[in-house]
Amino acid sequence: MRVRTQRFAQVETVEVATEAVFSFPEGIPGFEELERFALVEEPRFLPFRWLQSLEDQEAVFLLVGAQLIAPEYELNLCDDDLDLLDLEAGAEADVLCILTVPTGMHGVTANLRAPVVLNRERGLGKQVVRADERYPIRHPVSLLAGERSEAVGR
Amino acid sequence: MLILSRRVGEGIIVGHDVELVVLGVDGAHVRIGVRAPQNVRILRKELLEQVQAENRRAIGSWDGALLGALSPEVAPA
Repeated sequence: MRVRTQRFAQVETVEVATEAVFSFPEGIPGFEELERFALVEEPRFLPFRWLQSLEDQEAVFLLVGAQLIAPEYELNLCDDDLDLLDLEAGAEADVLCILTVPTGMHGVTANLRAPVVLNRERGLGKQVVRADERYPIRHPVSLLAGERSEAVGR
Repeated sequence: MLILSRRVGEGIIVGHDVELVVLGVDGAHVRIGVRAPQNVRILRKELLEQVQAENRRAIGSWDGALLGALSPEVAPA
């Protein structure tokens, strides 16, 4: 399946397997009307992934595994979320977080408070808003080698 | 919107199994207890609004052209 995306500022078309199409029955907070997304995964960009709306070309989120940002990250889903995602309690699911990348790449943050949970087998997804206050909406992360060495030198 | 007056200690039942109780009032500050089954999502409204705003920001703010410079390694800042 070919998907149009704007992940690198200009419009391009990428090939996406049909298994990479996810239904978000509740949409995404702020974009409740968008219910179908493609997960764009390419080896050269991993661990980064894109969640591209199939209904709005401009709606594309940059994602990274939550455990890459916070190694001890754990998520317990309530029954309603398990039902929506068609997951058994204790089942494995992909837990990713949305990155906010401001212009200039400085001040990149990861949303650990509201992870995106994907059930790949069923093609279902949801952005879960956690009540747990330990996890911030804007958790600072460093993406660039330059930014990292700067931080070390401080 | 349904508007009800309640005193401290009084409650409101929503549906079959959700109960809201006014626990205390201190000036503009109201403490509310919520009793509900595990599967009912209870969130402070502003948290959901913050997530909505952050999602809009995540889509709208970045200069995608710069993402080509991403390092494959992600390290906590």
